Amino acid sequence: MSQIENIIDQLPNDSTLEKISVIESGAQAANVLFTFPVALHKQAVMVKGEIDNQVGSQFELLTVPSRCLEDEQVLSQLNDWVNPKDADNQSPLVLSLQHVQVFWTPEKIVVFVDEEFSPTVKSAIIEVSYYVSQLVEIENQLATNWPQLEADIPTAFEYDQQAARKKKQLMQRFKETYVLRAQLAKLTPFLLSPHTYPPTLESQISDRLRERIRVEDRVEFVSDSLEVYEEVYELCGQRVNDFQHARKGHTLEWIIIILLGAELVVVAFDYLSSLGT
Amino acid sequence: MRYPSLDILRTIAIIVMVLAHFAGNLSGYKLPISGLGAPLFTFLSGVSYRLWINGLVTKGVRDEEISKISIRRGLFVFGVGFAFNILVWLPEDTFNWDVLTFIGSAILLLNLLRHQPLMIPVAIALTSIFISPVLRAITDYPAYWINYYFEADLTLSEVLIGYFVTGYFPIFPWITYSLTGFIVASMMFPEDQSEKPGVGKFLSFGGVLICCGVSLLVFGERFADPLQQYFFTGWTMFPASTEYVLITVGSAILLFCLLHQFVDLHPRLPEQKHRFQIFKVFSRYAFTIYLLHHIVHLWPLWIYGIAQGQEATEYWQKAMSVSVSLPLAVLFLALCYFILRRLDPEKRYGMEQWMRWLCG
Repeated sequence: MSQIENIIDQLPNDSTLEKISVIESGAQAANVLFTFPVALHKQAVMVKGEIDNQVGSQFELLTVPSRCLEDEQVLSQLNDWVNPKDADNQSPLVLSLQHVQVFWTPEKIVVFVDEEFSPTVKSAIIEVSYYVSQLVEIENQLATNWPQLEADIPTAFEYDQQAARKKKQLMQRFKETYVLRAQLAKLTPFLLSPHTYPPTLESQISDRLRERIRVEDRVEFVSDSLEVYEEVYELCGQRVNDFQHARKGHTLEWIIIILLGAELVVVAFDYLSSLGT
Repeated sequence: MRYPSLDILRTIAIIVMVLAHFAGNLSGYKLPISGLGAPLFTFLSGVSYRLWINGLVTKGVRDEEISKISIRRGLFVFGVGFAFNILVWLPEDTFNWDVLTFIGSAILLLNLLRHQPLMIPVAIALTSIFISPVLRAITDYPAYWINYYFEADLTLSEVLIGYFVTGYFPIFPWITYSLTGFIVASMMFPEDQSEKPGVGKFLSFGGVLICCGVSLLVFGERFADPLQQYFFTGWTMFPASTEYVLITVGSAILLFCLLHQFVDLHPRLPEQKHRFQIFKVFSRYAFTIYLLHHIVHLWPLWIYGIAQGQEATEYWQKAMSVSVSLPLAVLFLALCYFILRRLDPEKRYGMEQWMRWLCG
């Protein structure tokens, strides 16, 4: 029996564990939990089976009645589940608001909430979690690509025959940079949405969660990083084009030189043969 | 990486040359396959140079170092070519411009061209084909070949004319072979394998060249006299006529691409190394075998001539009948194979080892 199954056995019957995946909104799905704004074209659905942590926008959401907050043992167990001791992750983000408490990590979330508020609170958490997971994906992508970016910086200044072999890779990285920029641009209005007035429980949870995750700062950092990527790869693109133009001109010059050379050879042999015996 | 296709082609080239030289020099008999070995050999010099460069780049050898090694190798082959002319063809033939001096020069030129866009070697190869008949006309090619072999005075102008136009393997048009090999290999083995074009294009190109050459052979007689005399002279190796160049270049491309497709890219065949043992042996020692076979069949001829109190070259082309010279050639090849295969496969011997030791 797994750790979570052991914990659920000790929880009240109205506790639920949902494995959530965010898919395209056009896809057929039976258990739609939340539909994202039209611009994103996504929906959160409940899935069966194991969660694949390698696939983005998938997480587990455990909803527990708020009366369990008083049970220290349950709290400790759930805290361990959200953030296992052997994991390298930072400790889970803990958020308390009125009678709602949230243990939040990108992959596992526990919500202590009474049944009457459960659907709206869950929706708010699913929504924010998806936006944050997308932001984390962009951050990870940028971090992974950073050493490559540093390696490509000299190419932004000087592009030669040897660098010409990297043309396809540079083009690919240029494309990837703009894809990330587009993803961020699409996500930013939802990540940085203004506070709702009059505030509701779910809007407050959503706002508080985004504040605690420091969404605003992170979006700014990601944007700054992307700017560096854009500058480097734009310069690389410019160098590639300059090189190709120069090479075309160079080839043409060479062809003219070869033709002139051929004419010279003919003249030279005309002269040499006149010297022959 | 060792490509069995290259080993097979180099083996074919060396076997054809050994048979043709034994039959030609000992019996004065021209085999039907004469004139097919040298084009393949020079074409492969271009292919091998490109693959060798690719290998050095993969190993991380600096560009400057590659240039230095290339120049040393080019000069080495060029120098060996001169030594070969003096020692094997005797000093009066020092400047007969044999295939080794040509390959040495080709390596030097390819080193200059390796960084240029492929259009440039293409332009030079095409120019070489078109300019060669013109140069032959200007320099009066037949005057150097009165006795059906190359003879020139020892003057700077005639030496230069021999090197570029009228010698056995002059730069024009033979450079076309090395350049074509280099171009084909550069396109077939790009650093980014995803850019590798299909073999069909090369096959078509080879086929078109052969068709053009055959058409010129068939319809060449219809051209006006000056064109016939210098441009479309029919199937001749000395001089390498336009038809001869087109057909042999086309055949070399076709053979190389077919073998690459059906042998190198075969899912299992390249792993069955025992099947390619014979080709590997001949290919590894092609340079040595080229020199050795001349020494083996020409030196006894010169020594016998002198021993008989006559000129060294007295028995050249009339020493024996072809029914004897050809079996001798086969015996030489068999002996070469059995001796060379016994050598340590991890080590190199002969001229190849000297070149490596001296030039890197």
